[in-house]
Amino acid sequence: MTFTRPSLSAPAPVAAKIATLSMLRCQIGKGQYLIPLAKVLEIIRYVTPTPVPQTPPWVNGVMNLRGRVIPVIDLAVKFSEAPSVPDEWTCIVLVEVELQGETTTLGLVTTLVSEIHDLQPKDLEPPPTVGTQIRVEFLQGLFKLEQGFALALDLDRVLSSHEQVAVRDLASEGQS
Amino acid sequence: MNDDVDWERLRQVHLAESEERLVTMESAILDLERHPESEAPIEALQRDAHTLKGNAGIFGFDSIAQLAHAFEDALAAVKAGIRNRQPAEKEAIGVLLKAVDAIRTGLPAAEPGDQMSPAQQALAVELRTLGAFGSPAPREEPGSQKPRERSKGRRATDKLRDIGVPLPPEADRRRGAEREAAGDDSRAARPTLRIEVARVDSLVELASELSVSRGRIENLLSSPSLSDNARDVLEEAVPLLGQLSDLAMRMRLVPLGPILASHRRTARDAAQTLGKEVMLQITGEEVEIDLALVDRVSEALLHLVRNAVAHGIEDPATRRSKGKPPIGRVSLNAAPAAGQVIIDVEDDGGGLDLGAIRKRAEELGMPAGGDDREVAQLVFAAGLTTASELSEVAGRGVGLDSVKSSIENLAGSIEVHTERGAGTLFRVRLPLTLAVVRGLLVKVAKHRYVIPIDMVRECLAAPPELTYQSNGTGLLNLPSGMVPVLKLGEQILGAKGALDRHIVIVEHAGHRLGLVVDALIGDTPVVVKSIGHALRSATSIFGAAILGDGYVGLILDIPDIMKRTMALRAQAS
Repeated sequence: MTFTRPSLSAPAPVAAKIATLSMLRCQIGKGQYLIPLAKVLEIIRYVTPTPVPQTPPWVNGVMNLRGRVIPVIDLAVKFSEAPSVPDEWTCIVLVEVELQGETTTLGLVTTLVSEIHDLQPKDLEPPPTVGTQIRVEFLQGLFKLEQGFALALDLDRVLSSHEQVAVRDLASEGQS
Repeated sequence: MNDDVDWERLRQVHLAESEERLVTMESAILDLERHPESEAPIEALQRDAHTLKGNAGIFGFDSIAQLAHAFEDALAAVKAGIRNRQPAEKEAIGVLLKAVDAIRTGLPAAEPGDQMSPAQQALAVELRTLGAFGSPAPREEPGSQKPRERSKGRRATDKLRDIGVPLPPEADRRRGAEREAAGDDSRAARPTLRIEVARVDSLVELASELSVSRGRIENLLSSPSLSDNARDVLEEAVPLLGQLSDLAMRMRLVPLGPILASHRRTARDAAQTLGKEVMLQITGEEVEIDLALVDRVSEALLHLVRNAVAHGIEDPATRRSKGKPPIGRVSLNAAPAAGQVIIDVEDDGGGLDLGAIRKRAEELGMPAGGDDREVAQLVFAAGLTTASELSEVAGRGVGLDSVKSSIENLAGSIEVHTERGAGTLFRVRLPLTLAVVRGLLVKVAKHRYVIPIDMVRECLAAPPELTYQSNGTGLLNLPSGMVPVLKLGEQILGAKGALDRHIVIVEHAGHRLGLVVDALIGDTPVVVKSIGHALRSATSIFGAAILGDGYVGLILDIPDIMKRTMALRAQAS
């Protein structure tokens, strides 16, 4: 089996019992992505975040979630696409990720939130090495759905601070 | 497994409680040092030692229980001595303090059913020996000469008499000490509840959400479409919500007393190492400060008190030759001041040698002009140590520069006032709390920002003749002098379309800066929230605040913005 990453489903014993992966499918930029449902806290309508100076270009700013201050991330920018343009379908998916061993809540800007898929781990295929701008290590793999291909995100890796620093460094090198 | 967790929790609670008790005990021992003929501190110590022993017994920490038992023996002996008009000896005080230290270091390592380590055993012997010597046969001989005059130990009271300090009648002083101890007791008797800080924090967070709701309700109340019933209910709820938030915020505040008191020990130990005599006076124990600040404040005070003893107070011989009492005085005074807490660390020592500071600064190539007050502030510059050699007590590689930066990191400030021959005063100003800040709300390029109001000196309309350099900086001519200004939107916030109509003059650590903003909205209390380590690359931002309408306003980091302005101006010139 190609399924080798246990981190895909959060609590291992539960995953073993259910044996299916619940994934939220959403559109970020132009691509279709799957986010492990276990990481999703809630989905809210888009609110314009407060911009924060001196942050990477894919950080839209911070928002108020019932008194908590939550960073909002536009993964489209991180995946080398144009920044998301909010419209009536735009949502913020609140996810819980591990950053440097700490659980942090972040908001992801999504162009469209579609539906939840219950998928079999055996159907996970290795991520494509060509035809996508996204770095392979950001992905769990790829699922073939009725609606077409969707890339399963490894959120902890996509949003890890290590990556943030790396991307920020890349960005500043690009400018100079 | 659950048992393990409970055990560990109990143990943590026990440790925290014991630490508080040990601090109180230290204070009582130092009280005893000041009033060696008073029984009151000993009685307080006996109660604490007994509780300590009992608690250690519950956990089965035999080593601690035995140590506490030996401590009790020593106390009983010292008390018997006092009853026989033999005031507590300096050596006894030393051994008692050593025992407190040993219990403090021994507690975290203690295990159920353990035995005393060789060092602990030696100390227990020392405590018991104290007992053997300290309790001579009773010799109540009314009318005979006072035994205290026969005892060979030199005591503080004798020294005071030596230097001609008039002593109040014995009885009065004793009663005074007893009153002090009684006061402590009544404070300790106030019922308290231990709560995890995390729980208080979530309460504060909820309360701040409530204050947002309150803002909304207040808006609603001004709408004419509201029914009378609804209006009655809401009008009743608004002040209650306000009180609730206030109370929640106050839960994070703790009295400074124990922190200040713990430095009596700092002063004593430093003085003893250096062969000096120092008394630490404390006022303002009741002043409260945010729990989050406590550790770092205490750290800063530790350095300042050591510094005062090592570099401020002269040795007894020098003091005598200058006509000063040989016992140096260091005072720690806390006082509240409009949203801030001021802590003064003052000594009656030799004062700073401004000539030497100026010379040293010049050697290091630092600008050392200005009046005496400005020169004195150079003691906070890195690498400037004027003491001819670094002593073990004050040196240790931690200088006043790091004290200053740690205080400034807490959004506070420190300044020094000195008079040659008369003493030195370090004045530390700290925000009452980091959790709640009064902020001036300003608008820059459609977004709202919060400037901590403690730092705001004045606001004015941007004069039309003011010109800016290409980097967004300029110079504003005020009656009080030239003040650098900075376009906040362009340089710091990366915002386009700023209108730059108003200037907010802020002051921090003696520097002033004019921040050019679009509009002034008003002042408001805000709850400071972290923007989280996911955004740790953000600069010039101290935190975020949820404003009345739910919008997240960023709180500006004024010290950082000042640094950036200086860098910009340096680049341009």
